[in-house]
Amino acid sequence: MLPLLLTISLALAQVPGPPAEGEEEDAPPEEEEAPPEEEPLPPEETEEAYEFLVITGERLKPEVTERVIPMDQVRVLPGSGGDVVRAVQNLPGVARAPLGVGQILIRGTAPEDSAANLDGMPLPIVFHFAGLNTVINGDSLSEVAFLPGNYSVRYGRTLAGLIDLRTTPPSLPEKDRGYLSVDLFQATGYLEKRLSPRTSLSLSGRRSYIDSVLSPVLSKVTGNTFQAPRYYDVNARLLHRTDSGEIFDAFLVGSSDAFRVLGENAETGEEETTIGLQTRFIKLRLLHRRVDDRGVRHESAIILGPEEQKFQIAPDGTAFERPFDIGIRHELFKAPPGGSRDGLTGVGFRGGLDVQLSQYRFEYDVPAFGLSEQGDIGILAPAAYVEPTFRLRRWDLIPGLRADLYTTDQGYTGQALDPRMSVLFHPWTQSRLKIAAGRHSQFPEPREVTPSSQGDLGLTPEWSLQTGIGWEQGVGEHLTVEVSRYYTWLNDLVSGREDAFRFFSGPPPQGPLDTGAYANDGTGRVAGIETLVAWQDDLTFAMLAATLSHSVRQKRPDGEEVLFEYDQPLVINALASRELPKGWRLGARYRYGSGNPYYPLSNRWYDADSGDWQPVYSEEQDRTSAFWQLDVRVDKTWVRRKSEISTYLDLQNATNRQNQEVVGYSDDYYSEEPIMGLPLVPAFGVRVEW
Amino acid sequence: MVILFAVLACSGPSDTTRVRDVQIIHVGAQPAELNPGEAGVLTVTVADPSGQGVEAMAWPCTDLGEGCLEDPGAAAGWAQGVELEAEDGVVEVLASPTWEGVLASGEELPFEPFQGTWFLACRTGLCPVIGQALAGDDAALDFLRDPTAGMVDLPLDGASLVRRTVRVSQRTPDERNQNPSIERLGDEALQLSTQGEVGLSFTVLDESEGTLATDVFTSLGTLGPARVEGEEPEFTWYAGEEAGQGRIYAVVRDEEGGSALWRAEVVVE
Repeated sequence: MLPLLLTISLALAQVPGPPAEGEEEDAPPEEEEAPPEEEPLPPEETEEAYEFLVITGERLKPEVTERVIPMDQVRVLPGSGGDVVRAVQNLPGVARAPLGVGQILIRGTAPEDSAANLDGMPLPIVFHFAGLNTVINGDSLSEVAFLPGNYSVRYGRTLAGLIDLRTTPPSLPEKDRGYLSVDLFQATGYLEKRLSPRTSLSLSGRRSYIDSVLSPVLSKVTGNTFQAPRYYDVNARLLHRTDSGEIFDAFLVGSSDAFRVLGENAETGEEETTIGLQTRFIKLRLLHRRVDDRGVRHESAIILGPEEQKFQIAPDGTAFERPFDIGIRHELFKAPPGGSRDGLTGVGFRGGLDVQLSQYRFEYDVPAFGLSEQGDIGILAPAAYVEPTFRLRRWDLIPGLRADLYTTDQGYTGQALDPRMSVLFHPWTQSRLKIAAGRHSQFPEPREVTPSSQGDLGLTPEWSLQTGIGWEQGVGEHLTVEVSRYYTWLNDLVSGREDAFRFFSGPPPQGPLDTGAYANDGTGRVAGIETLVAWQDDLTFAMLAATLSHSVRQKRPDGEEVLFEYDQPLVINALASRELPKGWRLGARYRYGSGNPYYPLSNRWYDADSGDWQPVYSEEQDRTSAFWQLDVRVDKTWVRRKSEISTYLDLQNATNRQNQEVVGYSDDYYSEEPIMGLPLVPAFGVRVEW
Repeated sequence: MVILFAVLACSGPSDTTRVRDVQIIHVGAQPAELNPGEAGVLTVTVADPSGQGVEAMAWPCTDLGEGCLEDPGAAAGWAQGVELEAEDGVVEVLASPTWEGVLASGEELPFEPFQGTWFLACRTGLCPVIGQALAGDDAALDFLRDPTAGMVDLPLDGASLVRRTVRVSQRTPDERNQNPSIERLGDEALQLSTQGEVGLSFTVLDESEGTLATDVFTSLGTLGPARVEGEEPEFTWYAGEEAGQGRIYAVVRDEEGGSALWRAEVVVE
């Protein structure tokens, strides 16, 4: 066993065991299990081929912290509903999103400052409504990588962290397989078929049906016709591997979420949408990968497709964003010689072009938010990056440089040059020291640089200076410990127009709003310590993740520095899952999170023109009460000759704890009315796999 | 999810209709639309359910995002006191003549020209800023310039701040938007036993385009729903457990700045 610690993850029995030291880049374990007709992977592919083994194996990555969760373990994690990205939310560095909505709050930053990727290419959203599920079926993925900061120059245009949903390494299935599953919220079907020795096809579909239960109930309670949230997604993947090892990979993702409240039009008496929200997209990702005679991996990928977010509110409020994005990447990669503990010296490199094109249409015409805005913008954002790796015995030095340009046909041009540097040192077999610093830039939102939307062509990219130092230590065969310290400075943040309409991924912002013009006036600081202790043996997985952090913002130079709205000084996730005899498995998760800062209600005023009350907030921040919750999960699996049936009961909030999630207010802002989290939810499901 | 919570809160009796203390209920404009430089009259209606007395002031403030156009640079002469007769007080307003040039230029504005006025009504003695402002004391200047921020220092109960704007245009009196009118259907006395309830139906007359919205308030019991759209709004008055005398108010607004008030005495035995 070689519990080296580039990353720590949650893999269990079904992940192949790690190779012996020195074997890592020569004998991928996939070879051992590959069907006879499939040729071994070329040795040059090993960097990616070992993605699946990052739990216990080692690979060269510039990230100080990259935490990877293989899919096998995700399915049985208590409290995560079998979802891949919800499982990531257990890791250190992730703050708890209020109401459990699908926000990814990474290292004290806003959800819009982090990104979701599919194999390094941008995805518009990661979660369906209310954060119930990731928009991509977990069985289409090989792993989910969580990159909270100081990541490779391969990734750009993001101020904070990343979640990368990875379908690579592209591996053909050993046999045809499939499953059907039903649970409290949705039904899922998945089919994977080997069409030929070199070609496979996988299909999956998912449809929520919580709306069919909730809609009549809510309609009766409210007196409105209610169409509760419903979503569906489809994934299709065609994978072909040539005799020479080239990969052709076509992956289609489609997703749709909708929610509506219907009411009667006061004038016509006809039924109309009172409130409606819709999010949908289709993305086609094409990937080609080959390794040349010199061991250089060439990877070309394109991802393209339309997206839409739409909001309606009666009588005449409507808003939408309809981008059509095309992302193109071409990358060359060559790993340095040997493993990091082989004592070898050599050079590897990564370099590429990363181009984004977009036709971005938007309209925000919701009278309650004042002036309407429209735009139809063409965006071109090319980038180039280079990242050599210098392996000097037990040291890996990985400098990187990324150059970004961002232009619009409305006259805006912005550029960014992001140097980054990582140093990895492997003093002993089970130890690793990681130090990194780098600049990460993010361009303003299209509306912010569109003159017809009161945008400012003079805005520059927001940027962060991220620094981090971490130590990973293996203790014996099963225990791993990781401690990371990070400090991030946020600069040139775009402030202003907080009263304008925008699509929120969570509760709308509260407190005093900055209604001034857009300007690069904002700054921020985030500091934190992350600790991850994981135990993993053949039967048990246990993890303790703790994050201490402090995040502050200053919107304008003459303003006060205040706590960031999602600042959570202490977040703890402790979970354990153990396999028992006769196909049983028992798990539990405990979560604790500090409350979020907020501005208490101080007074109110009345707008006689609209008939609406407006809040007046206190100048001093307070904090909501702390959150804690216990989840318990029991799984039972029956293995048949050609199939497997598994069922589970996941008691979410098993103690029925009443947690205050958000501070709400009465409609007239006379009183605070806390919005509480969900009570005990006995989620259950059945899965039949063959 | 947030929308879900918002919608769930939209049915049944509404506490937001309850007038607990001094509260400005309505500010009516006559005419409902002004020409540049034209004077008009605002009638403010202030409920005082406790009967402890009310003091009020008004000051012009047409704020285009950079402060009040009418800011004289000092408190003196900016605010005027509002004398209430029963519940009503009258204030004269003057639409800025500068709008004439703006409107004549044909320049496309991102908003409708308007004249704005703030009203502050407080239980007598509760808001020192009223006395300061009316005395021309510059200690009140920050409040007059940014009254919403100044509300942090005033109590939630007993102080009521309201902003009212009047649209400014070059339309002739015949072309202008007119205030709507509102009448209750039926004339039975609004008298209930405790825990009783009764329906209230209105008819609204208005010639403007757009949706009519009627909000209701009461100093006794509660009403539901708090707002109804359309020309024949219907509400329910829930008497609650408290006996006594009070008032019900219905305020209708069109989408062009016109408004009207209906009110009645109510009794719970």
